[in-house]
Amino acid sequence: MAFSNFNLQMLNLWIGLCRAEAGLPTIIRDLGYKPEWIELGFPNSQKHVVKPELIISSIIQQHSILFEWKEGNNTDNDQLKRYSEITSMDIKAFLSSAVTDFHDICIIGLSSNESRILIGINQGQYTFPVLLVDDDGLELKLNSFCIPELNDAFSPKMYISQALIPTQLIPFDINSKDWEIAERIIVQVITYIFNNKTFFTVDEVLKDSAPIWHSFCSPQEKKHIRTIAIQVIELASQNEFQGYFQRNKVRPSINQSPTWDIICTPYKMPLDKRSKEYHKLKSLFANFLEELKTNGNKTRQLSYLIDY
Amino acid sequence: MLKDSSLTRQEMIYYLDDRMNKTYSQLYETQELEPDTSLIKTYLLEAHLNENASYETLQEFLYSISQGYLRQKHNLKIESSYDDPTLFQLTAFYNKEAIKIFLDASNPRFWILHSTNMSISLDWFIDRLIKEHQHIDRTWFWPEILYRLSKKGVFKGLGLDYDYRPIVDENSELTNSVEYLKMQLWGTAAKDVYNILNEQFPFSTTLSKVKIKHWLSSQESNDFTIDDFKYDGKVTARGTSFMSHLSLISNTYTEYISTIHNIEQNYSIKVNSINENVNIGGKALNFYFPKPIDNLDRFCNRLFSASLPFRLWGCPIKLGEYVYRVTAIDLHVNCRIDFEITPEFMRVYLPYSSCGNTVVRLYTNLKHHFNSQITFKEEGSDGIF
Repeated sequence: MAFSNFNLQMLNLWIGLCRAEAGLPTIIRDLGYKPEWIELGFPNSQKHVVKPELIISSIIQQHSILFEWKEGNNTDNDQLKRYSEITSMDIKAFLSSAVTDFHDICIIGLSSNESRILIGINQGQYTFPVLLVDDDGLELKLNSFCIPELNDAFSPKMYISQALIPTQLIPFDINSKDWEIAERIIVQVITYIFNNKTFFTVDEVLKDSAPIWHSFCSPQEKKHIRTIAIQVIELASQNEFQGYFQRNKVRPSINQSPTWDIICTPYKMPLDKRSKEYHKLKSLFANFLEELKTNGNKTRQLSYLIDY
Repeated sequence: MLKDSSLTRQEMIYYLDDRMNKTYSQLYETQELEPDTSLIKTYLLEAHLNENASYETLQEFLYSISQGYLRQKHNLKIESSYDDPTLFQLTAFYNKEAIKIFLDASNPRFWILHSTNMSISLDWFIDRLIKEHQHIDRTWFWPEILYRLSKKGVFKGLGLDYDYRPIVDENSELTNSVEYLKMQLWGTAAKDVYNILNEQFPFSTTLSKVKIKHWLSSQESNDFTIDDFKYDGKVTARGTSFMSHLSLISNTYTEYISTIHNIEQNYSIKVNSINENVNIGGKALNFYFPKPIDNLDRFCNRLFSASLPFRLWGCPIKLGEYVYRVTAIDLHVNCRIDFEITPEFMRVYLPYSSCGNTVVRLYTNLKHHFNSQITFKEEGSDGIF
């Protein structure tokens, strides 16, 4: 499975479509769309805050799209009403005036929730274009975009293989599973080991492994991801990687960030021994990920409560 | 810190020009070199330093290099020119031979090293220097830049180097028609032979070296150099003008550096954040395989096995039947680099802190060890390579 949650999948997909990454249709890029803002909160004309998941815009089309996507089967009528109150003036504050004359609020949901989503849109008599996602791609199910080429792109369907959606632009978010986060942060820790660092902090790891998460999450969301990261690193240090790094409970946390000491590094070994060490670390990492994916934390208990 | 030497830049140029002329006269007359004489060798290396690094930072970096294994076992010393803070002299001993190398670090990140020692000693020294210090790497000239270089003078010869064996076992049934091709062709007809080979074996004809005659001013002038540019950044020079050699090096290096900058500025994945409002910059580098990979599993395991020539460490994660994701580490410089790989293409994501050199090295090595027809595609541009 490439993604544990729909939000992460859609963010990576739409940024990838704007970049025309290999394997994806090029039409969105060809129409000139570029990703602008991720989870930008702003007031609408009625001073109610809206926070689209993503905003993209095209100078060529003089048009912007504000996306709201939902994995669940219910639409939030209050939220839809707020979106309907957005005017060009509201978005001029943070977008070029060349792209604010026309805009669309695009609702994206799973095709398995089609009926409930469409009911919600129709009941409110909203004119938002609705895209539904299934294993084959995206289909325009209701209403239409201001730009005819966009309507054509999704009718009957924009075919996209789920397996080809980029995964590395935004590798994890608030809803990610621990193995998703581990896949990135443990490799970052291993990078520190190869670089002969003597210690690292959890905040350093998170910032280096996925700078984006640090910038758009709320303080509460950051705390949640941080907690998972600490647990994952601690689990690694007590199991597969116990010969490589260990929690330093004596050193005061640097900027209140838990710290681990690196106790073994291939860099200090003779060249011929380094190669064996690289292979060993690969096996350990693969094993650690597999354990997390299949058993999670259930069979492995942390030997002490984490004090952070 | 580093000791001062009496070396000046002018002295270095006079010395190397003199040696170059003497060596060339000898070669011209006798078609061979006397013992203990050899051609000028220039090595282009990249250091993990900012191009705007101060003289002090550069000195500290070189001092740290001078304190390791090469000092202990081979008596490495690095001295700074007394009047030019970006010029250095390296001396060491290997196999009873005294090695002397001039290091021009006018650009603290992109170095030029000159020496007149024998290749066997110098190649060893450079190789060891890079292995011992993770923050130094070679310059990697991909085939297209070598081909363009061949037009900067009179084309005199070329080398081809293709070795598929790191990816596929020798005993495997799944082999290309050509698994290993190594050839050197000297003479003006070399290009015709290259074109014929390229037509017959397009996936295996990978340019690894070009030999060109280059004049500082016009072709009527007596001041020229005949340079062999190799894909790993080594240049061997003979001729009558060291300045011609420097001019050609400078020209080629400028193009190389421009590519590195382009990759780092336009492709590295970065976050732009203004008052907690976020957008994401950069994009994947998309490489396309001319024919689908028949065994993606084997390809990924070999590519990320941490061994030569790619030296990429990573655990391929299967996302679908024909898609792998890898969060990898480039062991040349110990930086992270991320991949998504299918039989038809490879997306490469360069994190903000990583060097463009990583991408250039990967591209060059894929051409030499997998398929010389791999392409980088981006519509609306001529491509970065």
